[in-house]
Amino acid sequence: MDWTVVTSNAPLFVSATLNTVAIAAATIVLSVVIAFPLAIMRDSRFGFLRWVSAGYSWTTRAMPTLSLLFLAYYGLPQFGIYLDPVVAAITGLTVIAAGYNMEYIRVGLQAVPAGQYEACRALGIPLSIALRRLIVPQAMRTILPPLTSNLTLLLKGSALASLVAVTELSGQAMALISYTYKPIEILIAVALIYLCLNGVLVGVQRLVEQRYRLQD
Amino acid sequence: MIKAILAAGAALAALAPFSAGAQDFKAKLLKPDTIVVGTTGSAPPTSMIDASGKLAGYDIAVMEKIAADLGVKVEFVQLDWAGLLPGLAAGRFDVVASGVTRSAERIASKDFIMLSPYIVNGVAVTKLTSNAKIASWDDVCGKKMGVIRGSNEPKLIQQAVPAGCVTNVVEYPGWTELALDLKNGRIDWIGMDYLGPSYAASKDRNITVLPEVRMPKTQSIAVSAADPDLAKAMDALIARYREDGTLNALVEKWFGQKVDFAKMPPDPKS
Amino acid sequence: MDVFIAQFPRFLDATWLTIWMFVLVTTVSTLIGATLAVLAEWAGKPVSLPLSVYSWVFRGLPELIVLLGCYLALPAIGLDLGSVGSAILGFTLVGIAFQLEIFRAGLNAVDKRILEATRALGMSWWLTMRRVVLPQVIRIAMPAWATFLAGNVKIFAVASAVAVTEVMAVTRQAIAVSDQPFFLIMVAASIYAAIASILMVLEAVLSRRFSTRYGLGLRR
Repeated sequence: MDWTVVTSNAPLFVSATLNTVAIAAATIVLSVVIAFPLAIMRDSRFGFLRWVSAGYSWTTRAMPTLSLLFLAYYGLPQFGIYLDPVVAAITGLTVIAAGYNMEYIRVGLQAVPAGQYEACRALGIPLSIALRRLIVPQAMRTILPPLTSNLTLLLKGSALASLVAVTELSGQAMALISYTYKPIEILIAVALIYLCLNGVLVGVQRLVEQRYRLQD
Repeated sequence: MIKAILAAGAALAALAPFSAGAQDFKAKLLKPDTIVVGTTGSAPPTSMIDASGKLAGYDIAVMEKIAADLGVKVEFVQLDWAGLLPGLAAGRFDVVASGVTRSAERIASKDFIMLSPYIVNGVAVTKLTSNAKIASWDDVCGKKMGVIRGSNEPKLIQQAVPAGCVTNVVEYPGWTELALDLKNGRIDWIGMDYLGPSYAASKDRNITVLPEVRMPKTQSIAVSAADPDLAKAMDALIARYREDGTLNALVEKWFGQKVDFAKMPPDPKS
Repeated sequence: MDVFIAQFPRFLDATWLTIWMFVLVTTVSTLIGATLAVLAEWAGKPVSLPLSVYSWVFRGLPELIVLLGCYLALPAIGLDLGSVGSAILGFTLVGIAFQLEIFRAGLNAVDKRILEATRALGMSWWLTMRRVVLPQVIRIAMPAWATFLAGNVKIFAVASAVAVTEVMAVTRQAIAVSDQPFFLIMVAASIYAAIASILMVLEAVLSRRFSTRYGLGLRR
């Protein structure tokens, strides 16, 4: 083991980690915010909204993130649209991630018995209040584990940003491995950084799950 | 007649020590009578999939020639560049043939053995043909340079230009992305070697490689440290190929121009 | 276009390789992941804690890092699986971690009072599982499971980093000798989209099958 390949490149690891955190954080927040209305639209009484949201879900989930990022960054300039690398990465990752998040949210909303909605309607409770006070807290139990699972996917998925000229953690690791051919040390270092970042996410997940768990 | 016999005898004598070692290297090959070669298959023209879907290129041709002369088979394994030298160090292949630059660190490495040069190259400026603002190395200062992430050239380029000249650097995963963003105008020039982009420029008129080559460097094949006899046998062949024009014939076939092995720079020292 | 036509057999082989690797990895990781989820819920802390650590590690690491570890580091301890073997092992390790979470979520959503009720009725553990718990778990877990699968296909593109010539590897090599990068990227996207679409149909069927009497019901 030769840890100098890690210590002597510490500044590179730090700047790459900052890029990863920035991209992942922006993607996580934006994709969840976008996903909630999309999930509710999916069960709307207006056919058009259902159709739009289903189409969005299919397209984003069928399309490899890699292809979308490639087209957004390298293809759009042909139409005069020049995205900054970080903006292109966040945009591409968010568009795809929202497609997944909306499915998890939709599944959670569906796990709440329909009778409850009907009861709310019968009692004249507006949909917004029914969602906020009754449905969402219940649905959260089903939504949270797969949703946060997906958020950890986003953290790892930020690795794809290296394709659009952003040097984040995985891209930096690959570069250092190819340059130093010391894969084990570099892989361990990068793994530890990812696990720390992931640990923060999982910690938040546990806290939130605790809040919504049924009292035994 | 006598001369011819003498010459043949001399040639045999020259080959003799190498034939004796031939059996030794076989014992340590990963597969019996087969040299397993790691290569990218995605770096024209040294290692690529040709239009018909077959692995081809300078590295492939050199390895096929070497294997034929050693009397063994050759098997190619394709993977991303980042995994090649680490894979060699981990014992996944007998050799790596993928335009490996003979840097000081690699020559000194205990993880594998760098053979003597099989090509002479250097760094050069690659730009859009339509870009009149860059006509020589003197014009690149302050301009945005694109490079391949993890490649050896950015270091060499910093040594080839005045200090503080090139500060705006964007890293890309490969040539495809570099060429696209050069055309998109996000970068002003590409800092790479001379021969690779020259090949691309010969196929694409929009791209030009300036002829002035700086920081001459050599490239070759890396052999597993576990099989020094194989390295010895292959090195003897490469030395012979340099002398008898075999390498230059292959260089001309794949790069469209010859290189001058007489102008081989000394090995870099760290 | 010429490059794509000339290299069509390579794309076909790569697609087939991607499909069978995916089916194998999915089958193995679902079976192991679901079993571990049940164990974690009913065997208590000594089992669930190590499993939580496992799931945290393998869900947190990028597939690329796991695969490179399997490919480059395992031979050092005498375990050489080759490139396809390393990729399958790496994806399975990651897959188990995700399946574990999906089925754990399904089990958690089962109301614990129902278990008390079955005990009060004198139902055996096995009968409770088979007739009460599993049907509920499946209803809740299946859509998430299918959603995960549909998204997981694309991850297999990472295998090119360890010498597996799957779809993205073949595409990159084709791009290197072609002047139509966007066309070839769209070809690769379509191949993945086609496989993912089949899984999404499966997902739709499963979620309709398992969620008949549930949902917002705004349409009614």
